[in-house]
Formats: sequence, structure tokens, C-alpha cells
Amino acid sequence: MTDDFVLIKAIQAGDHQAFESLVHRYQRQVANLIYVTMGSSDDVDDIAQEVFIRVYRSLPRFKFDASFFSWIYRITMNLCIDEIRKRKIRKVLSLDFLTEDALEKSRKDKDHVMPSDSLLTDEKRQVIQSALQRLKPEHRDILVLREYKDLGYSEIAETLNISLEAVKSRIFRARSELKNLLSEYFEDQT
Amino acid sequence: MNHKKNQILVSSYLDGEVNESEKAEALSHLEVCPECRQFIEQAKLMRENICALGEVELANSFAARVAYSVEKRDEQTVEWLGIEPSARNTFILLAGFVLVMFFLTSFNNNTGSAMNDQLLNRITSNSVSTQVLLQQENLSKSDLLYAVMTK
Repeated sequence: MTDDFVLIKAIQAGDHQAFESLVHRYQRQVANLIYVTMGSSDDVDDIAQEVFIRVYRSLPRFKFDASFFSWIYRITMNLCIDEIRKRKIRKVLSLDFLTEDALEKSRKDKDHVMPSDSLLTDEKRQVIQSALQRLKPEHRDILVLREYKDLGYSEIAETLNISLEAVKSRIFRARSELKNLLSEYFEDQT
Repeated sequence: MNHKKNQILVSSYLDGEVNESEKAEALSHLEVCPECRQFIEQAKLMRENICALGEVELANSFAARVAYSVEKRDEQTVEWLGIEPSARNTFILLAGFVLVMFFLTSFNNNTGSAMNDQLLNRITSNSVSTQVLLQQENLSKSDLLYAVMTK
């Protein structure tokens, strides 16, 4: 039995200290998945908190036949997708993001959680994150797992519940799409 | 092998996810295909840039904060006889809705019935034939009212 499974058994038996340990173990991975998927560090804290609350609520239904990472990954991605949808709707329905209060809140949020060791300038980071945002969700997910999380093909296949062959072709298609989106950026680089 | 398959092979080669024979195949394709050589270079650059996005750090107190909030939720659940707060709120809302609907329906029924009687009395008060119909044909006032209205 893995360490994760031992903790999950303890949580299912009502041990809150075990839950805190599990959160501590995965908080960094979850936060970075949210950061890259959402394209900014705003709200990482809030969404991560929601992820772990949902994890806690769903733990009684956890099946011990899959890795905990792939399970928490799916919960995280589903929440990010929900959040992106909500933001799109809010953006259409409201112009609140232009008010001074909203700008002030945005500045405070940025102070709260910031990428610690980014090697890119703000402008370059925005170009890359914006391109990742515009990718098809299935392409963005697989590139985040491969390039950012550095997972091997078999781990990606397990996490996304697809075959190895599908992983290979999807990674190629994702790279091709990102290459097209960044074509101007590449011209400047070369 | 068509070019699309070679491109997928080259992409897998970049990730080190090929066996020895696939590796040899990828290398020999790269020697003759400038498009795939450029693809590899750009894919490497994309990887560097994605990795260079950096990482975010949550506060040290994050885990304790989340654990505290779920602990609080659990306590509330016990206080409410094992009912989840969200389920409890839904239940209260539904119960309120049912009560409001019940009162509205009974108010409408009472008002409707009183209005029917008033109308029937006005239409039928002086009619002998109506009295006979009511007594002999075993009709209700509502049946009679319906007949008058549809006529």
C-alpha cells in the first residue's frame, strides 16, 4: 500500500491530521497545475482550496485501484475548466473588471501568490501563457503534464486514461498547435 | 511509413520514449527531413519556455487552513444530525417552496369556490327548472354552472 493510500484510509476513519499531511504533500503540484492551466497566479489559492475541499468530500468514494495523483489531477482540471467557463460568462455579462476596485483587488491578488522562480520576462511569460490558454483543452492538458510536470508517457496515459499510442499522437498534435500559435514569437527568437 | 507517422516518431524521440530501433529510424528520418529538424528545435524551445514559467508557492499555513475548514464542516454536519450543510440548505429552501405553494393553492381554491357559488346564485336564483334539475337529476351546482357557462 502506498503512503497516499495509508493517509487516505486514515482520513476515511476521521483523522484530520492525516488530511493536513495529504494537502501538504500535494499542495505544490496542485497550485502549479492551476497556475499553468489558468494562465495566471491570480486565484491559485482559492481554487486550490476548493480542490482540496472537493477531494475531502469525494474521498469516501476513492477507489484504491488508481494513483491518487491522477485522481486529484482530474478534480483540479475539472475545477479549472469550470472556472474558465465562469470567467468567460462574467466577462461577457459585466464590465466590473474595469473598475478601480477590481484593479486594486487584482493588484492585491498578484501580491498574494507569485511565480517564484520564473526565468522569463513578464512579457514573454504572458506570450507563452496566452498561447497555452488558446490551445485546445486536451492539448493544453497533455503539454502541461509532459513539459511542465515532466511526466513519462505511461504516467500521462494513466492520468488521462488514454492509450500510449494516443499519448504519442496527441503530444505531437499539441506541439504542432502550440508551434503555430507561437510562430511570431519563434521568428523573434531566431 | 508516411510523414505523419515519422513526425510522431520524432516527437516521441525528443521525449526519449522510443526503443533502439525506433531511435535509429527517427535519426535517419531527421537526417533527410529539414521540416522535422525545425520541429525538434522549436519543440525544445517551447519546452524551455514552458519550464521557465516558474512555480507558485502557497503559504505555509495553507494545509492547516484547509484542514481546519473541513474540520469545521464536519462539526456542522454532526450538529445538523448528519445532514451536509449544502443539502440542509436545499432541504430548507424546498420545504419553504412547498409551503408557499400549498398556501397559494388553497387560497385560490377557496376564492374560486366562493366566486362560483356567487355566480351560480345570481344566474339560477329565480329559476324553477334549475331547482328541479338540481333535485331530480342528481347534478351538482358546478355541473350546472359549467352547462350555463358553455352555453
